[in-house]
Parts: sequence; structure tokens; C-alpha cells
Amino acid sequence: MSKINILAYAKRYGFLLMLVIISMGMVAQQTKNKKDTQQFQITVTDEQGKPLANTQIVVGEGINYIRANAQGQATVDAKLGDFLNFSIEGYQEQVVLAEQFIATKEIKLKKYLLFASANDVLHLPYVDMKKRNSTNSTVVISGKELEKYTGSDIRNAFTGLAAGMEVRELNGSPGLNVIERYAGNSEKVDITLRGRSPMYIVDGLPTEFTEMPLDPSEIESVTIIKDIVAKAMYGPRAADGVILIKTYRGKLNDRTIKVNVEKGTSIVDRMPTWTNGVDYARLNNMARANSLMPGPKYSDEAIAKYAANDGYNMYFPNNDFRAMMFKSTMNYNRANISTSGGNEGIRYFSYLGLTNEGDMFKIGNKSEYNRIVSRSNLDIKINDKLKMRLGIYGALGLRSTPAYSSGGEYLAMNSAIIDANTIPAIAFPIYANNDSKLAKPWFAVTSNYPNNPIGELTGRGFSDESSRIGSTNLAFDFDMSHLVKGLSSETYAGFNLLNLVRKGKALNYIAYTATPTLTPVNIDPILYPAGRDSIILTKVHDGVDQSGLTKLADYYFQTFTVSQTFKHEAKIGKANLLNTLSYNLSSSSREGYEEAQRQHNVSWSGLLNYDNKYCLQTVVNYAGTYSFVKENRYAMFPSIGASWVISEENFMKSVRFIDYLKLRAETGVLGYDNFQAPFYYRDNYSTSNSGTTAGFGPSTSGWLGSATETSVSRTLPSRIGNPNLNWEKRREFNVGLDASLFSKKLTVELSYYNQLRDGIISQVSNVLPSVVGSTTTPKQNFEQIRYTGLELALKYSDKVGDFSYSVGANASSQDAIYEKVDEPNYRNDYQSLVGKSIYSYTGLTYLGKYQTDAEALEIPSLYDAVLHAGDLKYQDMNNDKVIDDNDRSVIGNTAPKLNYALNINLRYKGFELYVLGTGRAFFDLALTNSYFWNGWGDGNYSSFVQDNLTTGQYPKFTYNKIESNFKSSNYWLTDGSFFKVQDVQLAYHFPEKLIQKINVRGMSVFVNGTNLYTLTKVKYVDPESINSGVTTYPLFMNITGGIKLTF
Amino acid sequence: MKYTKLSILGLVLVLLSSCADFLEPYPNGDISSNDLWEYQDKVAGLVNSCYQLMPQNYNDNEGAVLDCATDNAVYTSTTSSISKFAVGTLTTGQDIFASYWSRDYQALYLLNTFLKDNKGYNTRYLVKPHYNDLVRTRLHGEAYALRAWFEWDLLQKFGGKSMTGQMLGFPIVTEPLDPNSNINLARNTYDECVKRIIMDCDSAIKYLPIAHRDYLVTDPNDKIYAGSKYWGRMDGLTMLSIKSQLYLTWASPRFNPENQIARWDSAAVNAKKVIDFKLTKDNIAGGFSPANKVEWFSPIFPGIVFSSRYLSSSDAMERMFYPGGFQGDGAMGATEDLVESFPMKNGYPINDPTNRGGYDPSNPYLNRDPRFYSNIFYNNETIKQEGTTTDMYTFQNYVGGKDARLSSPSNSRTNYHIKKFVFMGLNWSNSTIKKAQHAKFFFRWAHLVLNFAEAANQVVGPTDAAKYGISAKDAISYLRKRNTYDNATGITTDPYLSEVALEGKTKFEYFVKNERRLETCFEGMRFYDLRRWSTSLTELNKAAHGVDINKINETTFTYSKVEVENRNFKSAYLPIPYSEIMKMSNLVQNEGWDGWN
Repeated sequence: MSKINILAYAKRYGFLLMLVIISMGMVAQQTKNKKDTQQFQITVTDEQGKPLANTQIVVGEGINYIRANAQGQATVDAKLGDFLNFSIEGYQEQVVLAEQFIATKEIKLKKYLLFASANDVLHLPYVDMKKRNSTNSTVVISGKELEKYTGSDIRNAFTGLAAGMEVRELNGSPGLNVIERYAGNSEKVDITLRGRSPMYIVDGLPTEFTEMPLDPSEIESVTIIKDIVAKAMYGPRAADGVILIKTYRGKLNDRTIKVNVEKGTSIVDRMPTWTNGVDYARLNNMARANSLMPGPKYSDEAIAKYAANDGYNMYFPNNDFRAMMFKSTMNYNRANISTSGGNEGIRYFSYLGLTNEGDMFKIGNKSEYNRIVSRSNLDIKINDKLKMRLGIYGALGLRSTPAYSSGGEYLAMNSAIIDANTIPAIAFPIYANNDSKLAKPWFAVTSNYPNNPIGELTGRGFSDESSRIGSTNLAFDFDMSHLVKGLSSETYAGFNLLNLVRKGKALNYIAYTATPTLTPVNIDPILYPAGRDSIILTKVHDGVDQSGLTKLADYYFQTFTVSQTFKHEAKIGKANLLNTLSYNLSSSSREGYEEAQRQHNVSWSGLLNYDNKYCLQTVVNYAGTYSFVKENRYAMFPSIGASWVISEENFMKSVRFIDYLKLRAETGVLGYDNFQAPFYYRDNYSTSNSGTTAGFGPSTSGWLGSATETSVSRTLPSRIGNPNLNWEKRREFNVGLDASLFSKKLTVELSYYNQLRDGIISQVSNVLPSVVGSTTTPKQNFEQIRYTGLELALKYSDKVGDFSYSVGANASSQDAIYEKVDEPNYRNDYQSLVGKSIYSYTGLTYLGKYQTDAEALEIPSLYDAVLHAGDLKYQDMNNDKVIDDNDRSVIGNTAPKLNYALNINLRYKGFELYVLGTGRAFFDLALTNSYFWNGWGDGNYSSFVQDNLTTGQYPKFTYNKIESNFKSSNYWLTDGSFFKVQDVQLAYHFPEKLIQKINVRGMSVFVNGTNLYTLTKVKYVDPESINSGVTTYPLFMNITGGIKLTF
Repeated sequence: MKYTKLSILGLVLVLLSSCADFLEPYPNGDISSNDLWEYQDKVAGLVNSCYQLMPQNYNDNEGAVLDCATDNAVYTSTTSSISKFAVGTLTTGQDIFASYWSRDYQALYLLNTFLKDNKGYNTRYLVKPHYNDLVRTRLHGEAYALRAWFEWDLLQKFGGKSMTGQMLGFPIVTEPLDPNSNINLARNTYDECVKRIIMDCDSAIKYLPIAHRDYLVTDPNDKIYAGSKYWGRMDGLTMLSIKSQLYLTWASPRFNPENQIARWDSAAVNAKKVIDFKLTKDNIAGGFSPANKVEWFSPIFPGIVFSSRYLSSSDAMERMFYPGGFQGDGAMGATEDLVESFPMKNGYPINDPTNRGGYDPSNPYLNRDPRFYSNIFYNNETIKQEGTTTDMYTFQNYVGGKDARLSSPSNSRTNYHIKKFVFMGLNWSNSTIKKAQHAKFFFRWAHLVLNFAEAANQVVGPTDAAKYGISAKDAISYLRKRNTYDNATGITTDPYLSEVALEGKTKFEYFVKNERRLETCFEGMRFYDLRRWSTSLTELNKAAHGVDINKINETTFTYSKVEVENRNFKSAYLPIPYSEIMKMSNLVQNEGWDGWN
């Protein structure tokens, strides 16, 4: 690392270090004040008097942290007025005044029922319930698990953590950006839950990951809601599942300051390679010869000259553009500080986080991504009845990048990498003229490749982007038990505002096409026997810079949600009844959307729990959307769920190894409208009066006369309305079991779901015949898809002496079958997708290569005039003696039949090792992107083409493209299965006793690695995203190291 | 405390009550199908839109490119859809004709919407009743006329013998169809479609003036809503032309197995009306004269009966026809077969048994019909930019020359390049490039003359002038005498014409067909002409030829005819779009398109 980098680093994080020092000082100051303290001997036991070893005792608001010994005993120094907080997993937390221990030396903690402890709370929309009482398969992930992932995009941190949730990283670009979702760009990370994109709620506010970037260290828990009853409570927007995030809030009598600093490097994982200049020339000659074109284009002498690898040679240039343009590593840094604590009156949590990520451009304008996130959560008790909860969030994201080409894209890499990959190494020299007398060098280009990558990166200017995000949420909790016993109310309002501005300066460089030629010269044949050397230059880029800055993008997003909830709790004998009535309204507007997206709904949830054994939950959702005609706007959607803790029944008591077994099932209907663009229920006619039919009459005067009719108004239907458009219905059925076995060492969760999407709203294009005469087609409730799947999660934990370990695994299998599909009335069953998976890959069936030219004539392929030996032979599915589009059938599936993850956590004394691996198996990867489909004309050749020519795997190699060989067929399919070592963390936690001396409660150092190794049969590209490194950023492997401090 | 309770309850109530209109759309400028009738310019716009749906130039698959599926021309790219169509390997995914089907029905939807319940006619366009009548009558007539035009387009393109053996047309639609209903139409018979089009033509004639001319407007005050201001819109002459063309097709052997002479007669009568109008009414000062050349780039060319609106400053045709060496695409080339069908300068064919034209196979481009030179670029021809005397380009079609066939993907495959529709004032090497206006002439005076000659010959033979006022021979002589596109003098003394006319109906029929080929080449008409004239596929499946040229010296070349593309049509008809066949089970495919059913 250079000196400058160190300085920059020190500057950037200097103030954080300062914060650390200050906070250490504060803690120290408090603890020094040891006057009036007394010593108490306390024994902690359970209700039966069994000592509870390792119970944590917090003195005051975190003045002192003590753990009970193996006999449950502890020696506590405290003032009489201090609160002592006793907590241990599985038992109810107790807070007691220290003075109580003058009289008694013992405290008994009350044991929770299994899955009913304070840590087993599910945060569902409007209702918190114990996991034991739920009827669904909800997964809860703690924020600590997310912290183990290194990277600025929190979406990746979800990889492998929940069965049924698939996370796929599509490109490794720095940071995250709201534009990726809305400006026709492909998303950087794709998250799906049971095959659909879930919604995302942060502290009650529906938003998107890109609209509110979060750091893992501010997240307390993530609840992943998959089943119908819990989704129905939130209404139609939740129909695709919910990722519900709660940020930390201050804990009573527990003051904590946490500081994390992490630094590391991201290293390009797989970068698909292309041929060098010499091989390019040889391959081009070979292709021309195979196409029976005259003479080799590149002579042996020329190839020998290219081999000098001189990028500046005017006649025989040979460049490695990628090596000149890109680095293989980029920096990654993050640091954050948080404080939390509180008392009866007020509780607080504050967070400040910094993320810095470099970029992989080697030259050109500075490129990096920086983000600052701040959050403050306050819980204020106004009086006995009224509590207020306030959350304030602010974030600033900054991205700098060189501009490339016209410079409008938010990722300049997308253009740069395509040029770097597709321009042959010998296409042109770097410079057409680099005379020192020139103010600016003249770059070289050709008419086929008008961009000089080096000129583009260094001479096109830059763009700077800043996004500012502000969000608040405010809730009033009102205890109304004085009106009706058990009644309470929660009133909530949340906002999120985002504004992103990208501005840039468009510059240009000077570039000429240089065509070196030997001109026969008549002037002096003795002086120039071979003709005179001349290079004809034609200007392509004029080097004229834009005078000022331009606004390239101005994107806004705002969302607003209010909700009102009434809860009523009642206990009748062994039955607990919780009724919830909630009203929710949301509206969001964003750049480019004509109308704000609006929905509101009322839902009633009745939860009956009898004896902690039987549970029944009913939800009725009454929802309204702006998407439909008035009569169809509102609809009612009921759902019901039940669970039975069968292990509590007497007949199960004899089965010793089962500690806990719950059966659960849910069913219901939920509406879905996905915020259709407005007015699809009504027609619209648009008008135009420009274009070629702008007027009639003689446009020049003559024999006809001279009066003309100008501005002729033309009318065309621009939207065909469908007044019958209505809610898509989600008919869902879930069933599953949760179990804890072998003295709670093994937990099992098994779930099955079956969901029918009935009447999917889409613009159906294969049903409405053209005779209707529409320029466009109406939206209809047409398609039906049935999603089914099985999910299994297992976890085994145990402890042997000082060594404790846990091994977890989850796996899911999902498929979706078309029951009704928008497709033509195919003549052959094999063409139809009805009854087939939505992930089907259709194409021609590959039979082998033609052995002889005669064989190629037997059943001709209509894609080319004539085929030859070596071309691909396909099956004539319909026996019509020709190969054409009607011979396409389902030949593969593109979604994994199995998604799985394994995680291992080992702990020995202070050392902890965490390994997470994820895999996708049983699916086909279509190798059809530009990395695999190239090799004709004078374009660049990928290493795939080069390598497979020698093995004979590539189809017939010719200069003229043979269309038939580049049709989707199973020739181009490969098994995409892979297993990735996603996260590895090795940490050392310093012993509490040691660090307490320096007034630190917890200190860990760790080394982290992500995306460390990929096990796959797929070569060249990354099976997780085959376009990475081809048309966009490659994926990275991250290695970081850091320190975590808790005061 | 009470206040807190009340205020919370109050807040909730306010929220709930304010949400009643929460889902209502914001005010916006959308025009629904009901609102439409409140805006008279938008109602008129339904009719106006149809003009935009028509082709505007010859550079597409229903224009010049379609000649590449005839013996007139060959398309350069062998992977193009038109080449694949011509050699019989067109796949359903490459259907280049489907868009015309949907375009025509789009127009029919707009017109049917306008015509339904006379809603368009009953719309109030202007305050003054007299002017309002002028506008609404014209629009109403135009709607019928345009419907006839698009229906004729459908019939000409897609009409044919179906796989069930019946001669079918297209599904007739005279009402706007509801897109949200279940639609499964069948094709009407060919005869039903003919009658439908004739009905629409006749309705249009009732409402429309015979032509939009100032001199036809009796009250000068009416000129704000009538007269030449509407040049380019549908008129009576256009309807007569459609009828003539329709009857001619219906009378042709393929569609008229019983040879009903009445159909030929109707074709001749309707054509004659247009011819007469041009000769007697439009022949005002600066107006029509049968001897004048065709002005392809003039929007007021008097020979136009109906043309598309002009594309201003287009270089599409020049790009398409010039060879690569002259910065063009050389996208298609004229065949040797077409070149051979041009007679000699004195009007005798090149294969005259006694060679009275003096054809020299070693110097084949010498002393040819002047029309040849205005249609085709040939080897060693030097062209000059219009209005200058300097040489612009010399064609080198010989082996080793830069325009030679197969030496570049932008040289024609036949060694001929096309000159028709090319604006000779354009030269991309000029510092300011002059471009011309281009349009597609759907009906020209010449077309009607050819229609008349062909039909009249069938009814009364070549020389009888008694029945129609002029004879078929007279009609043809108009065309042979006329100045060429280059403004060269035509064949003024024409002994061969008189000779062939005397040889009787059959010889003259062959002669008229050849004249039609020369006059309409590259206009996209020969494709349909060949099909209506023929009754078997063998007549269509003939190889197209080019010429191989070797250079001996600067002025001497040797020529040898060479086969360029072997045609393999499995059907005499175009396919009904496969996508449409799959959407409507009642739709029957045309014969020969088995894989498309």
C-alpha cells in the first residue's frame, strides 16, 4: 500500500478512532466511581433450584458485566440503587434492584416453554407472536449472522441463510444503486423467495433494498415470511413474501457501545479470457480458409511482427486492452459505531456506519463508492398509557466513475468491458500520432471499432453520483386497557425519500482511423522501390469537450405509509385470544411513473392459542388498489392456519428422543395486483400530427393550385382497456412440521407449499388475433402458474468440554408449472408449455454433427441456404422433413431443482470458525451469451472458441456465420450445478477477564473471506452469473480483516 | 387523558374518511373511446391515420424487394427473407408478409370505428352547415375508400386457393371487434371479398369528388374545404383504379377459370374512365400530357392517380440500389432476363427472327430501347450527376472490377444495378448532398393504360377501337411513345407495334404482358401479375439469371449468361401469417404452405 493510501485511510477513519478513545474514556470514568459499592454473593438457579451456570449479570446500565460460575454463583459489586439484570437463554430475563440481595442470596429464573422465549418472538406484520404459537414456516435471521458477510450490498449477506430464499449475485459492481432497478438495468443481486421477488419492510415501512441501504450492524433481526396467513395480515403487497427487517432498539438497563473496523481487498474471481493478437490473426486466417475465401489475410511475416506485442506499432499493433484498463483488485473498507441503552423513560440506539469500496478501473478518472448511514431509534415513555417510538434514518451514497463512450450509463464498466472483450487485440495501435508537439495525443480507431478503449477511459470525462436518503418512522403505542381490558392501539407513520443526481462532464478525445498502406509511387522508384509508406488518417473523434457539467440522471423516489392497529388480548381459562384489526395505507411515487402507486387495506387477525398446544389463526384481508376499475378495486381475501404441538400429548410422551414436535397447516386466498400501471382498464387514444402524413395538397405550387392542408391530426389507440381486469388470486396451501430432537440438540423444520397464481395480469400477445386491429393488446387476467416446493432446515448443536459446535443445513426444491399460458395454439404437444415448468428452456434437439455434406441435405435446416459436414444436426420433431422453429421443444430447465446451504460453526475457547457454503444443483445453463456465441466475421474470439476448436467441440468454424449452429439447442446447454464456499470467518474473542482490565467488555479480531471457492463443471464463466466479466462487472472474492469492540 | 383518546380516535377517523377518494386516478389528458367523439379533430384523425399506415416508398418487401421473388430481380443477400422465400426455405419466424396483414386490419379497425353507426358522419366538424357537410361527406367517403384500399391489399396479398381447395380471400370485418371477446373468424370466399371491395368503392364514389382539383370546385368560397388542398387523399379516380385492378385480377386465368368476359370488360371500362379523365380534364396548362416523362421526385406529377405522401430528403432508394463501390448497399440487381426483355431502339425485340433491331450479343447494351437506359445501370456505363457534365461514376461489373458480382456483399449478384427511382442529383461525395423527395405511386396513368390494354385485348382484340373509344394497341402506343424517366425520346415510329397488333389477340397478350413488365419493373407489381397470369407452379419456378463479364480491353468485353438463383415456390400464394393461423382455428392456410398450418 502506498503512503498516500495510508494517509487517506488514516484521514477517513481518524475520527472513528477518536470516537473509540472517547467512549473508552467515558466508560472508564464511570467505573472509577466506586464509592458506596457493596459486594453481593448471588446464586442463580432455575425454579427447581438447579444452578444456572454462565448466567449473565449486568450491573447498572452496563457498568459491570459478570457471568455466574458453574455453580451458578457470582460475586457482584454494586450500589444499593443499581439494577441487576439476569439473563440466560431459555429463561425469562429478570431485573432486580441490588438492595434486594441484602436479604436474599438467591434468585430463581423462570423457564420458558420451548420456542416461547424472548428470543423466539416472530415479528409479523402488526403482530408479534411466539414461534411456538405460530402456524407458519417463518424464518428469523439475527443481524449478527449478516455481519459475517463482507460487502457493501446487504442482499448478498442473505445467501444461504433461509430455506426457500435464493440469492444470486449477478455482477460485482461497487455499492448499490437505486437506478439498477428502474432504468432498464439488470439488477445486481437477485433475491427470490419461493421463486418470486419478496417485498421488504424496514421498521414498518415498505421500501426496497436499493432505496434504503442498510448496514448489517444496524439490524437486529430479519424475519422472512413465506406462508399465506402472515402475508395476508399485510395484504396484497406481501403476496410474494416479505423480508421484514427490524433495526436495533435500546435495551433496558444495558448500555453498550460497539465499534467495528474492517479492511480488505476484493479480488476478481473469474474473468473470462479472450485470444491474444497472434492467435486472433491465426484464427481469422483459419475461418477465412474454411469459408473458401481467397488468400490468408495475415501472412506468416505479419503474424511474426504481431508477436512483438507492441501496442504502439502503426502497422502491426498488438494490445492487451484489458490489462491496460482494469485492475484485478479493489479496496474494501467499512467501519461503524453504535451506542444503545436506556431506562424506563427513554431508550435509544444510534448508529453511524461508513462503507468505502474501490473500483477496478486502472486508468481514467477516480472511481469509487462511499456510503454513510446514520440511524437513531428512540423509545420514549410519555406516560403510563402512551409510548412513542421514533426512528430517524439518513444516508448519503457517493459514486465516482470515469465516463465511457457517451457516458450516460451508471456503470461505465458495462460499455468498457464489452469493448475490451470485443475489440481484437490487433485492431489498431493505441495512438495514430503521439508526437510530443501535439497538445493531445491522437488515438487510433478503425471504422468497425470507433472506440479506442484507452482513449475512452482517459478522455471521456467522468460522472459523479450522489444519492441522499432520509427516512423517519414514528409510532404511538396507546394502552387502552382502561377502556376495554386488554385493548391497545398502535398508530404508525413512515416516510422514505430518496433523491439521486448524477452529473458528469462529457469530454472527447482525438482519434483517427489509421490505414497504413504502401502506395506505388511514380516519383522516385529508386528511393521507394516498394512504394511509399503512407498512413491515411480519417478523423473520428474531434476532441471537443463539453463546456459545463450535465445532469445525467435525476431520480426520485418517495414512499409514505400510515397504519392504525387495534389489539385486544384476552385470557379465558387456558385459551389466549389475540384479535388484531389493522388499517394500512401506502403510496409511493417514483421518477417515470405517471401515477403514485396506491393501495390500502384492512385486515383482521384472530389468534387463538389453547394451552400453548393448539393454535388457530384466521386472517381476513379487505384490500383496495388503484389498478382497476372502480367496481373491481376492493376485494376480500380470507385465510386460516392451525398448529398442534403434538409432543405435548400424552401419547407422545413415551417417545423419548422427541423434545418438541409441532404440526402446522395454512390455507387461504390472497389478492395480488403488483401495482399495475394505471388505467389498464380503459382505452386511450393518442394523437399525432407530425411525420410523413403531416399534410395533403400540392406541397409545391404548379398546375394543381397551391392551397395545402397542414398539421393533419392522426388518432391511434395507444392503450386498449380491459374493464374486467381484476385481482390476481393467490390460492395457497402450506403444511409443515417443526421439531426439536435428542435433548434439543437437533432442530428440524420441514415445509411444503402449493400456491396457484390464478389470473396473472399480463399483456397477452399470443391469443388475440391481428384481425382485431389493435396496435396494442389489452391486459388480461389470463395465465395460471402453480408453484410448489419443499423446504428443509436442520441444525445440530453440541458441546464437548470447551469445544462447542453447530452444523446446519437447509435445502429447498421449487418448481412452477404453467396451468394456462399465453402461447399460440401449437400443432404439436411438445411445443406447448402447458403442464411444463416456467423455467423450461426451449430449443432444438441436438443429434450430433453432420458426418457428410450429403447427410446435411437429407433433412435441411431452413436457417441457412445449405449446411455441410461439421454443422450441427437437429431432430425433426414433427417429421416435416425440414428443421425450423416448429422443431423446438423443451430441452432443459434453467432453475435449480435443488438449492442448498451448509453452515458450520466451531468454537474452542476464544476461537471461532464459521463456514457457510451454498449450492445450486440440477439445472441447465445456456451458454449462449457473447462469450460463447462468437467466432464469425472479423470479431474477437473468446478463449472458449479457441480452446474448443482444438478439441473439435465448437461447431464448424467459418468466416460467414452459420445461423443454424447458433440456435438455442441442447448443444449449448451444460450442467450449471455449483457449490460455493460463500463465507468463512475465523475470529478470536479475547477472554472477558483479560479485557475487562482495559474497560472493554468484548474484543474480537477476525479474518473474513467471501466467495472463496467455486466447485463446478462450468468452465470460463461463473455459473452464478454467466454475463459477469463478459458484459458487466465480474464477481469478486473478498478478503478482509478487522476488529470488533464492545464497551 | 381524555384528549389523547379522543385525538387518536379522531385521527383514525380523519384518515379513514379521507381515503374514500384515495384510489381515484389523478386528472389526466387520456382520451377514452367514449371521449373520442367529443373531439372532431380526433374523429377525423381515425381516417387520417390510415394514410400513415400505407407504404411510403419502394424500399420494402411489398415494393422493389418483392420483384426479387420474380424474374425481374435477385436480392443480393442469400440469407435475406425474400431470397429464402424465393428459394422455398422461408420459416414461420421470418414471415415478411405478416406485418401487412396486421397493418391492414389496424386500418380496418380505425375505419370501422369511424363508420360504425355513422358516428364519424354525424360528428360536427364545423359551425357552418355547408362547410360541415363538405368535411363530413369527404371523410365519410374517404373512410369507405380507405377500407376498399386496405381490403384490396389483403385480397391481393393473401387471397388464394386454400388447403381445402376453395378460392378464399380474407376474413371480412366491417365492425370494430371487441378485443376482450373471443375472436375466431374464417376467411370469406374470394368472390365475396371482391364484391365487398366493389361495394366499398361504390359507396366511396357516392361521397367523394371524382378528383381533388381546384378547377372542379364550382363555388370559389368552398376551396377552403375542397379542391386540390386534398390532393393525396382518396378520390373517385382512385376508386375506379382499384376497381380496374381488382376486376383485372379477378378476370385473370388463375381467378377466372371459366373466363367470364364481363370481368375483363369491367376492368377495361373502369381503366378507361381514369384514362379519359387524365386526357380530357387534367390536361390543363402545366398538367397532364401522355407524352411527358414520369417525374418520380415531384409531388405534383400529373401522371399520379394516387400516391403516398412524400418522404422528404430520402436517400433510401439510392442507398439500396447503388453498389458498394459507390457507397450503396447493392441490395438487389436486375436480372439478365429483364434486360433481354427490353426491345431495341427501333422497337423490335432482341430475338426478332430476322434481327431487324440489329442486336449484337458482343455489344448487348448498344442501341437498346431508351427505357432500358433509364431503368438499369450496366457494365462500363458512366453516369453523370444530374445538372452537371462531369462524370460521377463508371460501373465496373467485369471480373476484377469493383462492382463485379460476388466480390463484395454490397454488389448485386447479377452484374446489373438498378436506376429506376434513383435520384441522379445525389452524390455522397459532394460537400452538400442533394436528396430528393420520394413517394410510392400506387396508381399511375401508365398502370391504367396497361390495365386497359390487357383487358380490352381480351374483350375485343388488339385493334378494335369501337367499343371503348380507343384500341388496346392505341393504349400501348401512348407508353412506347412517351419520354423516358431520363427524358429521352420514346419509340416514336413503331412498326413492330402495328405488326404485333395485327398478329391477333394471343400474340398481343404476350406483347402487353412484356410492356407491363418493362413499365412496372421494381414497383412490386410483377409478383402478383405473374401469379394471376399463371395456372401452374412451373411457370413461376424458373431460374433467375445474371451475366458474367470479362474485360478484354477498355472498351471490349465478353458476356455469358449465368444462373444466379433457382426459384422454388411451393405455392403460388403468400402464406396467411402463421401466428394468426394459430390464434384462429377457423382460418384456413393457402395451399402449398403445409408447414405453416
